[in-house]
Amino acid sequence: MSANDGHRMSSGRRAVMAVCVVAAAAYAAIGIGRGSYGLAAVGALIMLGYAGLLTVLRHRSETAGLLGGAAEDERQQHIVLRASAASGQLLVAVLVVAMLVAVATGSSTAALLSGLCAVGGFSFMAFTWWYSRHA
Amino acid sequence: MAVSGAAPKRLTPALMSSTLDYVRNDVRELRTASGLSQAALGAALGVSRQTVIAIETGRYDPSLPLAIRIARHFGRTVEEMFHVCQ
Repeated sequence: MSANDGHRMSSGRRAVMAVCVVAAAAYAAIGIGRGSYGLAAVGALIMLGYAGLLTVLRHRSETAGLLGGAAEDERQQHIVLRASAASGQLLVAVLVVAMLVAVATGSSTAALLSGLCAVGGFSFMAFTWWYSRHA
Repeated sequence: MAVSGAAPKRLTPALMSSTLDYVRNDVRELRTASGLSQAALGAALGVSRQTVIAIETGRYDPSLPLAIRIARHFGRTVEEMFHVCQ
């Protein structure tokens, strides 16, 4: 498929749209289940609005196209890979700082945050091992 | 005959990346000479217009398969289109 073929929805775009719709449904179900109709409506609208915005802007902005899952050539896939890696590193850094603060203050979230940090660290080690053998 | 004391530096990846500063290419010149727009070249190569722009301005160095595809599109070899500048 050509990179400029906008008529067929790529698997990446389908996946992003599906995630948005599922997240909207989850917000709605959780909100209704808890009796928080505001959360249900606002959460679902935000997710559906985000999906709609990406769809409308995908031909005008490369960033919107990439956020919408339309990485269709090697440079765009490289951008998504680097963005994912940077986001993951930032997330782990924030988790580590939050865990240290929680441990220092004796917060009840320390165990949860420590577990999440461990997941981040071990998954990084595991993927490094995997890709050093398969890439 | 005396031999110079300095041993030749072994060409390690780190040394290569420090000496090979950047890769210049002739994509823009060849594209304009053939009357193609960036979008048309992108469509012919199966990449986006933004990727053609990034390659032309040197912001992105294409992979070897894409470099070969670009060179073949213009009837050149990769070495004729991409020049390593130190």
